[in-house]
Formats: sequence, structure tokens, C-alpha cells
Amino acid sequence: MAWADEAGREAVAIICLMQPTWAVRPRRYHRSSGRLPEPHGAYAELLTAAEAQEYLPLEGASDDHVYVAVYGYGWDRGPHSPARRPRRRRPVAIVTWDAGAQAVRSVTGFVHPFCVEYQALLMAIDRPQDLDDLLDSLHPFVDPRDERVFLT
Amino acid sequence: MSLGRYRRLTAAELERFAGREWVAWGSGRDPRGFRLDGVALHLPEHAAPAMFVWSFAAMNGDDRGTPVFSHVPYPHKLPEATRRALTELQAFSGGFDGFLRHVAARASRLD
Repeated sequence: MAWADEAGREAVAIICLMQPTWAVRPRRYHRSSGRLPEPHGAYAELLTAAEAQEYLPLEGASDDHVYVAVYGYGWDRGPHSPARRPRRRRPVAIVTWDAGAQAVRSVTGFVHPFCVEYQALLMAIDRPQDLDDLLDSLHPFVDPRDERVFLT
Repeated sequence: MSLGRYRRLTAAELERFAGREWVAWGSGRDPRGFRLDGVALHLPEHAAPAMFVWSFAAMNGDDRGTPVFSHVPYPHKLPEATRRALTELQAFSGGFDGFLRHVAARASRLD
């Protein structure tokens, strides 16, 4: 009956791989509120406090905080896609992580309607334990990619 | 359930957003040509208000507006029902007047 066990395992593996996108949930996404983004539709990148200040005009950006910007990949699903205009892509959302308090200090969205699904996701995850946990919670929708710091 | 109390953002608060590249849309348009308006939603026992800023392409106010900024401080310190209501506000796209009615139905006016 070994062949039957093997066939059963293969069937389970195939079913898992065939999981539709709507069935994919981040590890700690605990409720359904709003439409979720497409898996791997965006990537995360760290901003310096000076860079974040441009997008958070009502707050004094601080080096004590970590600014995780979420960018949509765009039409070619690549972070370095040839832009129609040579300007920096705007983040759809920024999560401000308070490293001292080990808590999400704020969730800020920008590019409507593209930010809506990511904001819904960020608002719906459970409280992260640390920065790695925050990024892990966003899988598989946001890839933890960054040119300066590889976030894993 | 009342979310809390809300007020329109002051001119001084909106001035901090004025002229920023990301409040504008459209090819080659000057960000200073966009009028801004918004709401601060003060949530009970919460450290800071949630903020929503909308941008209007027409200076004379006949544009329905587009959301360009929404900011929720410490979301994980909020009750789940409040987070869900804020997510609805973040997703609202029915024009600024509709947004104000939506907020007014869920919170009381502060000013």
C-alpha cells in the first residue's frame, strides 16, 4: 500500500499548490474586511526618516522609527520597471514601526484606490511582535524586498 | 456605535500638505493648483486622531475630490469594530461630500 500513501501525499501537495488566490491568507490575518490584494502585488522598502518626512507632514519623522513603504509593482510586476517618467514611484502606504515600543505607530495610505487593499490588509493583521513579524504577517501579498536592507 | 468626534482640518494643518507632489495627479499639473480638504477623527481614549485628506483638481470646488492621505495612529490599540470602520473610511470613494456624510453618520461633530 506504499504506492497508495505516496499517491495520497502527491494529491495533497497538488491540491495545496492549486490553492486559488482568494484562499491565500497571511499567517495572522484574522478576519475578512475589504478586498485583499493580489499575492506578490507589492514590495516593501525601508525609508529613511528624511524620506518619510515628505509623506508624513504632520509628524516629526524620527530615526527611532522604522518606515516601511509598500510599493505596487506596476504593470510589469517588477520593482525596477521602466517608468514612463523618470521619477520615483510613490508608495501606496507607509507603516511606521516604533522600535522602542515594538508596535505599529501608524498606517498611512496615499495612492487611492491602489492603497485601499493594502490599508485593509495592514489594518487587519494582528499586532506584530517585532519588525520581522510585521513583514512576515504581510506575506504573501507584500514581498520583503529592499535594496539597502534585506528584510527577512 | 459612535466612532468618536470629528472636525474639518484647519488651514494650518492643510498647509503642511500643500504643494507636495503626491497630492496632485495628471500629467504635468502643478501640485499648488490643487485644493485640499480633510477630516480629523478623534477616537475615544486614543493617542492621536485619524486623519483623512482629499485633493481637488478644480480650485473652484466643483470637483468631487480624491482621497490622497489617510493616517491611522496605533491601529492595534483600537477595538476591532473601530478598525473595521476606519478601513471603510479609507476605502470610501464616493466624493468628499459623501465622505463627510459617511463620517457624520458614524461620529459627532467636534467643532
